[in-house]
Amino acid sequence: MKKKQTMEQLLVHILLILICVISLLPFLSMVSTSFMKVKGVLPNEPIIFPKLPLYTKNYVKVWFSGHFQTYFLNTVIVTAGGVFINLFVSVTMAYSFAKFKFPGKEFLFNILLLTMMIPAQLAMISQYTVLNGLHLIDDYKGIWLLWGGTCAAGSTFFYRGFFEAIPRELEESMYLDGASRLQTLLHCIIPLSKPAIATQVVFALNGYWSNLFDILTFTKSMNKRTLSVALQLFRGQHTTEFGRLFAASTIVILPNILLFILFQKQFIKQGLTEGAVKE
Amino acid sequence: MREQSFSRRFKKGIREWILVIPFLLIGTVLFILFVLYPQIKNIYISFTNYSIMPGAKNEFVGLANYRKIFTDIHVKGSDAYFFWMAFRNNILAILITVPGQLILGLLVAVFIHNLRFGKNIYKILLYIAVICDWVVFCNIVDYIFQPDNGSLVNYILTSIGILKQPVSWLKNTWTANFVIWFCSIWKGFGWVMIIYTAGLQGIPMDRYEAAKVDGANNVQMFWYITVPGLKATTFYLLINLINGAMNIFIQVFLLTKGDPIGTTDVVMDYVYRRAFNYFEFGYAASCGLVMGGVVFILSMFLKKYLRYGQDE
Repeated sequence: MKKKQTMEQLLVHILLILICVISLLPFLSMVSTSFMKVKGVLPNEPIIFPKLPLYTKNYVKVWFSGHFQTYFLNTVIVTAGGVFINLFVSVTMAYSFAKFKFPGKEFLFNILLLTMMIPAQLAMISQYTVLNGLHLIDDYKGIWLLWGGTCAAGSTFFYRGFFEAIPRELEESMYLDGASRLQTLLHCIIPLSKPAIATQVVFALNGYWSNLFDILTFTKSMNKRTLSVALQLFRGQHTTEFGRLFAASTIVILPNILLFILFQKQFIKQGLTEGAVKE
Repeated sequence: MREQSFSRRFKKGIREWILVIPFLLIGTVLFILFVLYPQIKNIYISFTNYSIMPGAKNEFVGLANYRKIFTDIHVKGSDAYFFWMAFRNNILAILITVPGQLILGLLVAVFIHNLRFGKNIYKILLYIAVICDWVVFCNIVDYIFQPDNGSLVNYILTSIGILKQPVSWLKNTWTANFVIWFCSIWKGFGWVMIIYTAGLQGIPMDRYEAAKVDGANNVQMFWYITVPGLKATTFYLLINLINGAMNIFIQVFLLTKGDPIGTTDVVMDYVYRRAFNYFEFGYAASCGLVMGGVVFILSMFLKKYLRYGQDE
């Protein structure tokens, strides 16, 4: 019996390793290419591992050329603000829908859902006029407010289920102790939803870090540009300079991957609610 | 009597609103300002020939923009022809990428969930494609699908004998469509996997233990406990993935731009180019709304048959 289980585990590991290799091979190829002098026609065999010694000039050129460092800092600022407002809006909204009773609740929720079904990019023209009216074009405050609005529907939908799954008994015992709605949210709902919140934060970080179209449309000046936008411009100018293109690309995704690995620890905390109400 | 109960209900409603408003207000205002209002304005735009130039007259043209979508559908090169071609590609994308992501994501999630060690490392590795910047991701896809002998995909497929000669993937209709679907599945299934592993954690372990006592095998437990236990999660994913497939955009925008002659185009890319390259905002808005209507009906249909939030 035990032997059979071990075999099963081994088989699953082999399958998963295979899937990972297939999924990651192109990324390895990208990183390897970034350490080589590849320009114009590709070599006859795909680049999986770089030739030694590593050719690091691509990175030096990218990092010190143009305004790469400014773009990097801009991306950090815009992402941090975006994640903050996303978290604030989605937790408060989802709490309202999951734990309150008020007339028109389902109606409002259905409107939220309804807007999710409509292509988001289309609203850009009208969003531009709204931001323009608020004098927030070319201003990160405008981008943050916009993201606060656009995240509302999706993340409310996402969190509502998690919040509703939290047993009523827990909150009721807090109310009996005289806790307010806000205290219940801060000391009961949020701690118990950490895995869900961590998930949402990862998605928000990822989305805002790589956002292309919002930044492209709602900022004007070069010194407001972020990495994705800069990379897109670079790609247009140097189509076949794969070495340099991928050096820039690697720098762009590296922080994203590091952040994700850091968040992973919080992300895995599981079964919090399961342990909380055991008869 | 009836009036009194109405006023009592009204007062109760007001009290409930006063309780909830501190939590609801900011999100709702931002939502109305940046999502609801722009979408409604969008409907107005679709009935005009709208111009973003300041001071321009936005003439009301009635249904003219919509009529354009439905006339000469079969005439090659007409506006309607290209719209419905793009629409067809969205439908194909739903039929291929949604099941692809769901099945792959669920299988991998179940595999990972049942591991005794090493769960996190697989999650992290398989999530790299998801968190990857779209621009970077498309650069990579472009690179591995280059027409040369030495591009990763051509090299592997010719070495194992599936292809006789290298293919110019992005230059032909169906191979280019394949690359677009490949992008969606490769980049999407990791997200599906993460959501499913979160969902799997919500299924109480004692159900599995009880089933084991009753002598159920792995496959039975998968069908009778795991799948029903994930119903709400699956519904959430389905809505999102279908929505995603209807909104496929950035990989088309960055990789094919709809070429050859619109046969790999999708509605969002078509709409975007008509709006921002040709400045036909009215027509673009009406195309987007037709698409929005279709997605909406589809989602309502799903909602009716799958019932959100009822797990058992």
